[in-house]
Amino acid sequence: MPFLFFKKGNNYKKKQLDNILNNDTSAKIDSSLNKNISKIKEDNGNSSDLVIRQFVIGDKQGTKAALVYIDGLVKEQRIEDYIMENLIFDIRQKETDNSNQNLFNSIKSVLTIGHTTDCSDFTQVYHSIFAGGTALFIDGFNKSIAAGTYGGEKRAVEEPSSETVIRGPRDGFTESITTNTSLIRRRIKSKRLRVEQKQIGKVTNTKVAVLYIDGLAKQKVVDEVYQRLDRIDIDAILESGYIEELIQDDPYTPFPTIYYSERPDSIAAGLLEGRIAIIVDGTPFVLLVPAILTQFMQSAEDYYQRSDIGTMIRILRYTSFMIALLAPSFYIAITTFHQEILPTTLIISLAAQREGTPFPAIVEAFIMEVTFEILREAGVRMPRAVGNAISIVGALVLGEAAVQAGIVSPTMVIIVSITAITNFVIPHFNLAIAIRMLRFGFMFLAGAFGLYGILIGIIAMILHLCSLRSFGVPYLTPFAPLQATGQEDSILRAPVWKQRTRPQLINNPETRQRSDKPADLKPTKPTRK
Amino acid sequence: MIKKFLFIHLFVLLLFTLSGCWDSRELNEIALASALAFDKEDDTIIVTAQVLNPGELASGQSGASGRVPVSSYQSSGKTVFEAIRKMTTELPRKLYLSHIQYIVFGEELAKEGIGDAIDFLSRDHEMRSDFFVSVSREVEAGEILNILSTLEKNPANKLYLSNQSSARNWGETTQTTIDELLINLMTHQTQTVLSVIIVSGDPNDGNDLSNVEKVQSDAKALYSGMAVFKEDRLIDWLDVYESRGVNLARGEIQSSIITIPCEEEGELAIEIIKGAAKTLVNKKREELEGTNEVNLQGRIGDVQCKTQLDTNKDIKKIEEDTSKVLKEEINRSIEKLQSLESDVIGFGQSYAQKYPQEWEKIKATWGTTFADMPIKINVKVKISNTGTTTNPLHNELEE
Repeated sequence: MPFLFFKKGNNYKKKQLDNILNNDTSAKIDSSLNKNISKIKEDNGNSSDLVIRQFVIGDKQGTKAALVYIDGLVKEQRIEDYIMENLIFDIRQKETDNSNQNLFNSIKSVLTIGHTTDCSDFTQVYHSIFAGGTALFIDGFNKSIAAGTYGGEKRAVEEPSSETVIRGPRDGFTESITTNTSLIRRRIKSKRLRVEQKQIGKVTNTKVAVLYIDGLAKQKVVDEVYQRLDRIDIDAILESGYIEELIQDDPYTPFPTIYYSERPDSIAAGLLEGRIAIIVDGTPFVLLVPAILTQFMQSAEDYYQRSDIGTMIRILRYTSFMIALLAPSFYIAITTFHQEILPTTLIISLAAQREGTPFPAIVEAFIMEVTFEILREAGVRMPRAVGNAISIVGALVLGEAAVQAGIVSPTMVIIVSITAITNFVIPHFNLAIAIRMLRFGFMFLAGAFGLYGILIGIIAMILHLCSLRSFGVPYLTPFAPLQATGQEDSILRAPVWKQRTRPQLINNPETRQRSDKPADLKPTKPTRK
Repeated sequence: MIKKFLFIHLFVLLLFTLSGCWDSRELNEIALASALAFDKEDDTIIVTAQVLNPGELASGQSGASGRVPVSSYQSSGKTVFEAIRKMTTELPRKLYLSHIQYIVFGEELAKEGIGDAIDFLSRDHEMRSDFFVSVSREVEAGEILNILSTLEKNPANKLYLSNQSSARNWGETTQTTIDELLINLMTHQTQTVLSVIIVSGDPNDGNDLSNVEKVQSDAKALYSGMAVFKEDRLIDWLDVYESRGVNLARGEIQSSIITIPCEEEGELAIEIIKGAAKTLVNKKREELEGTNEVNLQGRIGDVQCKTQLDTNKDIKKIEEDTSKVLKEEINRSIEKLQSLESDVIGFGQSYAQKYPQEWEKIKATWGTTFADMPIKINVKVKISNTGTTTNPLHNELEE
């Protein structure tokens, strides 16, 4: 469906759709209560979750009023305690004057609910009630009061399941945008934190919040983010993945150019580096731009453990990256083209395992890799209860039976396992999946051209990476272009007191991270007395 | 966009035009050769190849059925390459030569010249340059490949390792690789010596698994001495001590045991732990004079006589005795080489490096020049320790 909008020469259909989508919600509120109610009913097709509660205000004038809200989105307790009770009982003390204007004001003054706005047209009314507010219509007034009775069911803040850490905060984003912004606000208690909300999606009207720290983020990038968000013309946003695909720089690349995270601490750290976060209502995954490759190789925990541990683990990750990408292709290239580069004893044991296997190495590798991918996908989609079955079948089929039946060689099983394990070391799923895809390309190159093919493949991959940009920032920063200060936090993780400047090219260059004198920050040994 | 398109096409084009190793071969489509042997019969060259049977060789493989770990294939032809390709009539797979560990030349062929066989070895792209070259004595080279060995399942590996181990710990063999041999043959500055493989027992007994099922194998291939070459022709053999003398003079000794007589009766053994040598040629009034300086470091390893070892003077005495014995040993080797007119020590090389222009003139007659040249031998031995004890047990025994 979204593709409809991008097609040229479809203007007629587009107009028709626009009519349906926009309706005429911009109509002004009428002063007749009945008219208003029947319009709402008509607009919503008498939806069963739409609650219209009609009642009489006070006991003197007998002014009729109606509360309109959506069942399940509001906190009914608040409506009862802070709206209904006020309007039916508390109003009686102020109900002396007969003037209409005064009635409206006294109604407003007795409402003890925290957040109220006046609405004059239906767009505003709908905006409020679909977000969980309650609209108060009073007979005789062409205005409505929207009260913030937001509530309804939402998930509690839980530990994020996709990025686990051993040391570090355990809270994760939820599906509620207000919870999510509050989680960040709790970490960055500064008046410079900017949170700006907008709605995207013609049907879904999804709330999207843009967060950045004023002064740290480059104004140009902030403007660019708004521009790209404004350009989105789509009916539905159900997950931040929609936004990601619609605003990324290069649509045709396996590599992720927008970072996402479920962890408020990662996003807060990104904001402090001058990046811009995009929170989408209804998903715990928050986007962060601009993104560079090294970000996807980092875990929040790198910063919580000491710097030497962080550095070692990062080196381990980059090694795993190469193994996950190239292990099967190296195996194919060496066993079919370059048998001379292995020590004799090793080639003998490889040859012994290859004796009697029916397929060439490349076919064998493809069979095993595809089987593994299928098993993994099955494992992810399977109901939790039968998850164990997958591991049993996988271990038996891949590990034992296939080897014993002589269909694949034991070395191939080792290669597939090592690629699988190393792939899990990469902390971010979207980069891991990019490697999974590229691996097959490399396997084909190795099968057809040997190590030479792998080399050409690597050159092409690096050239492609160099050509990528994320909101104007080269994807391979700080390696290409090479930046001395950037090295402090890429493969290495320098001690916190040594990282004085924020990443160049990303943040506002005038800002410094820490004191000019690193000596002030360096922990000193206590002197002995 | 056009740029990108061209770029991708350039890559694809490069892939097809530049790929050097186009022919892919699966591991179970090649016959891994571990050793080659060359013999000569009349005009034809007989090539024997030892082919590995991976299923039997690999450790921890359940497929082992108790068959022989290697098998050898023989064929003959006017050239080496022809003979090797002819082998396919017998071999089910194509011979793969990259994992060759050593090459052995038969005595007959070596006496007539190994030049014919060597060209193929240096020309073929599959051959690596790190395998050892040796000569067989009194048996045909092909027969050596038929002998199974016990400790190493792969007999080629056994011969490779025992050459290495003997060169490192005893000093009787030389680790000549094919590229070293080629340099010698092409520059004419140094003549070649190769390790010699002999067979103890009847070589035909080694051709059977029963050979490795005995505590003492019937047939064994082992190293003994060296073969001296003049250009590409085998001219004579060296015995154990002559071989070691050559290694000492060339500075190729890493470790060895030198036995010297004590003052009174009995013997004393010195372990050499470090060795270096320098070869110089000086010109004195048109007369050439060679100098061979050998520096060794050792420790006392075995004393079978009464002697005192606790003062510096005692040690000095032993140092002097050792260098005298070694000087004798080296001298014997050099004299033999001079009588053969084959300069394997490398005097020619140091002369050529010092006087490159004059070398060109006398290159052709260097053999006789070398034979007539007076050669001074200086051996310096430094004994660094006496092991875990000082004075020998013998001093106490007879009191």
